[in-house]
Amino acid sequence: MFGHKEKAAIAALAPQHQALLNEATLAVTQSAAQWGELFTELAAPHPLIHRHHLPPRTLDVVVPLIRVISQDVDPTAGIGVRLDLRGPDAAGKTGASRKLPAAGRVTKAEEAISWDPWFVVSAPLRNGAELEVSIVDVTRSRHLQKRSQSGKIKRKTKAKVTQRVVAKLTTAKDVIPVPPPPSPATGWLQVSAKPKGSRHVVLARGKYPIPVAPAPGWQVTTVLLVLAEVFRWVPPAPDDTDAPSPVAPMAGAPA
Amino acid sequence: MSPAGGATRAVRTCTATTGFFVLERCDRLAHLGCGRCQRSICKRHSLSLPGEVGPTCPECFAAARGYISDPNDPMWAVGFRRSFYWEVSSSTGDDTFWTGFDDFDREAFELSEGDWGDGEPGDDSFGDGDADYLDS
Repeated sequence: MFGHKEKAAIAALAPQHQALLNEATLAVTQSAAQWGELFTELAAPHPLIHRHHLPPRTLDVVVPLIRVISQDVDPTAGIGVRLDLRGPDAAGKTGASRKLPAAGRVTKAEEAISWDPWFVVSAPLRNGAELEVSIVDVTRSRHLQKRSQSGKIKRKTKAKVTQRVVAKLTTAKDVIPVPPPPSPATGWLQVSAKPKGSRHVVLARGKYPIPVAPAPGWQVTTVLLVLAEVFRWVPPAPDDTDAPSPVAPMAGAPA
Repeated sequence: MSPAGGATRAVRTCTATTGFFVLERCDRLAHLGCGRCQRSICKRHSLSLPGEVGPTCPECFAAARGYISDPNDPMWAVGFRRSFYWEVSSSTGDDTFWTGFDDFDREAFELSEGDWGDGEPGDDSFGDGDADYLDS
């Protein structure tokens, strides 16, 4: 049978790796160490797998983002991730199209909106807070049908993609968020903080068009800016003032 | 407990910065000092740069090593944290973008002469702010 060696090689991989190769989706909660093992496996090229590729955004966006979030999570805590990297045209992502008013030579106009939540993460942080992140690509597609003067019928399709990133930080108990000084780096975000019991919820929302030719690292940096904004609202824990100076002599060392 | 003679016994803890957004100190017992910034570091955060005898803390290690593009590199997160905040602050002119960094962290951002690489042809990524370079 053609491709049986490749199928056998895929079957021997970790289930998370298989899910990404076969279905371009993944929904799992595991520790930072387990994520690290998976990422190491993803990065290593397999000598027998040539026809199945990792979905786009896996290595250049998903891996760095989860690596960054892992830095703030206790090693034993689980990081929940739901990935759907099938793209905006996958089944179930596009809503019903609606008719737009046609005028002049435009004989038919329709619009459809696709909602693609491709990255959702939930992680408990070391300081007792909880972080939730979601990235959604919203594509508005317009299909036009025109009749030219000679009677020819022409069809045009135009798509506009915007991205919405939401970062929600539920602070640790009795931690009160403080609005930071506005920064030009994150001035484009809508941020709010509301109490929720003994905690507070800091919410940052960003909405922007996806550039046609984004610079390398643009996606990761943009998402991290949204994350950084919610953390800017939480004042850092005071340093231990009794800690000796780092230039102090070692214990037992001669003065 | 004070040792005999009444002198207090100083215990040093590791001051290596951990985390990306939630910045904390390592707080393990420190047995070494960074050869570059003198901060106390534990064995876990002790790294060695090629050509240097003494130990180096992760911040100085990342500063000396430069940009690491591979997220699977063990030192990627420290280097990326450093470059992310530095780039955001410099591109927007906002020095207060991240106030969680203290003087120790900021010192590691200051590039010394030895950190500018070997000056490979065509590599002007760090040379745009050097007045002498531009004047020559």
